[in-house]
Amino acid sequence: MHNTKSNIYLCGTKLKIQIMIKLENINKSYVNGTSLHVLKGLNLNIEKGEFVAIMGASGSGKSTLLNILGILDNYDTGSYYLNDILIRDLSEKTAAQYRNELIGFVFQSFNLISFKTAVENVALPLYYQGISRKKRNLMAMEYLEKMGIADWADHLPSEMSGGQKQRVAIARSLVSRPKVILADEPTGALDSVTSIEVMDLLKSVNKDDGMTIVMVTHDPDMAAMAQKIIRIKDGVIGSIEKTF
Amino acid sequence: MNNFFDPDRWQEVWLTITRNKRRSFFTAFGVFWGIFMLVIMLSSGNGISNGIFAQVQDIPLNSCFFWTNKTTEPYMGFRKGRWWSLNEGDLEAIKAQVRDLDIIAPIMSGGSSNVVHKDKTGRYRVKGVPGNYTQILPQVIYYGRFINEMDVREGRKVCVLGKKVYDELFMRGQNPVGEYLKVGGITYRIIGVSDQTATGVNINGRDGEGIQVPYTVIQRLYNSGDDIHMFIVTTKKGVSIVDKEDYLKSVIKGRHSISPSDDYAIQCLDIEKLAKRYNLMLLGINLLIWVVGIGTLLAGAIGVSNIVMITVRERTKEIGVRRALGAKPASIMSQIMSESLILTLIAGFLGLASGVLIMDIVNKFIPNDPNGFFMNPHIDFQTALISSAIIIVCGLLSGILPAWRALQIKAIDAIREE
Repeated sequence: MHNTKSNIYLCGTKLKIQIMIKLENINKSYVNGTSLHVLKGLNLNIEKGEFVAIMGASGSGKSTLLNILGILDNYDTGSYYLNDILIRDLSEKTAAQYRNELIGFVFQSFNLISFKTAVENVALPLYYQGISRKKRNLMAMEYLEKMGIADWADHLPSEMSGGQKQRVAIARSLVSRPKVILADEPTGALDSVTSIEVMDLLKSVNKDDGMTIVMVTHDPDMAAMAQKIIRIKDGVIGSIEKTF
Repeated sequence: MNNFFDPDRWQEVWLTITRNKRRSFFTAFGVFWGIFMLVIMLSSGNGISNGIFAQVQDIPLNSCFFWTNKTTEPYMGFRKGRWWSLNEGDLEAIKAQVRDLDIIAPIMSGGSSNVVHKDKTGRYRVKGVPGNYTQILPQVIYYGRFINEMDVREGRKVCVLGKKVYDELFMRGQNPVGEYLKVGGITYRIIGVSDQTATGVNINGRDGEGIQVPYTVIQRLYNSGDDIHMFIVTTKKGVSIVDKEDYLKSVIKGRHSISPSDDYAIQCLDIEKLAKRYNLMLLGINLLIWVVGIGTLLAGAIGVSNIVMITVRERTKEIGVRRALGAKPASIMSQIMSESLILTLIAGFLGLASGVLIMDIVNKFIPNDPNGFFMNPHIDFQTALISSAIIIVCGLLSGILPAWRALQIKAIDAIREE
């Protein structure tokens, strides 16, 4: 087990900071006729309870980074620790299990299953944990209530607005009590008012539950609502700036 | 979670099927149609088979009917075109000379006669038969008994009525045994009522539509000595009648100075040959039915596979999302396979049931004609079992390819924006 706990002394007080995501010298190339080196020795630490926004021009490698963070894609060299667990060369089965237990996904296009009602969509991650129907629907309702759309529990996604869909998606990402939420352009398909509502929701999840959130976005206004903005440039970290 | 019998798993499968009704319907229709057609065709095949075999039902396969004709060749000083008769001596001769014969039954034709019972009359064929006649042409006895050896030996004036004769001359439910009947002016005592079980055999008129008397009575009536009009022989168990025919004919030809090469003078109808021909025909029909049926079914299964395949492609996003949310490959595989299986099972058994139902209705509407070549079309339990097994195999097979395809879908595909 790799030690990701570091002791930092500030004004004589010992603060214990836990690193949730630790990327060390990550390299990733796509071989497709010609070799394309996307991530070039990327290093990144994200602490537990942080809300970070990842920005970068298209082709900078931010999507690839998110895929690696989400255990959706492999990397070539380096190491990736998520919650102190080394994520490398996992079997599909283990990867699925880790995704289920450690990560909650929020997508730009919501990715709700169209023929399932809101509550069924939210309960789906729990189905793959083998939790009984009754119990998982109860838990799903709890999270729908938290997102303020309990009234829409029995509606299909097609009957809901974009903002409502994204709330359902956020409820789904939270229901399995993951360690980190990965949000890929969560406001990309929403109008500005709804975008701010969704961002406020994410912020409150971050603040109230202490949930670590990593959000990829290209909208500077949205990125400004996170605690940190990490800019990716040419496959490495370009800059990290704190927002205030 | 991956437990096969986990109700939750099937609920998930059922939900996916029922929430996508149109897709499910079109997927399942191919298999439904395949099984439906297979059942219809197999039932029809059975109907033809039943129809054909009812014609010779219960008649021993190793039996042969012999009768005479004009000679067609001059021989030993006789001109051609001579009428000749079989006699009881011939029967004694073949009994002595042809080995392995079992039953030898002489038959006399009594022509059509006016039959009178009290105030009712009718015109019916009269046939003279021996006591062992029913061993070859089995009959259902409704009242009383059949003619026995004693009746024949003593030439008793007794008769057995055909079912049709009884129906026309007597009240329904009335026991005619012991009553008297006038046939062509001669009084007979009724000893029984019967009908033949084989619907297609007709020797000088149907037994169920005429009157049967001891053959010795007819001989005396026509003063024809020991002449007989035709006879039936059967061979012992395990001996083919076909092997005996030629020798039997030659013995009789020899006794009546008929040219050995005169095939027209003595004729025979061989049930064994007949059955063989029927069997061959039925085999052909059944083979055709199975080939076409399995083909239809296979086309249905391939159709299911194809549609599920397209469905999987359409569901790339859904499957990708499921995988992102933590669905293990085995659970995706079992989801797709289970969907195929459930769809094929439901469609298959619906097809099976509808096929059986339709044929049941058809059966009610076809006339119950004993001469018909189509009877009681249905599939037997064994065929239903085989069909069910085929449905299940098809269901599993049609799921394999799409399930494999679904496995190739990575969670990353769900996230990639189109």
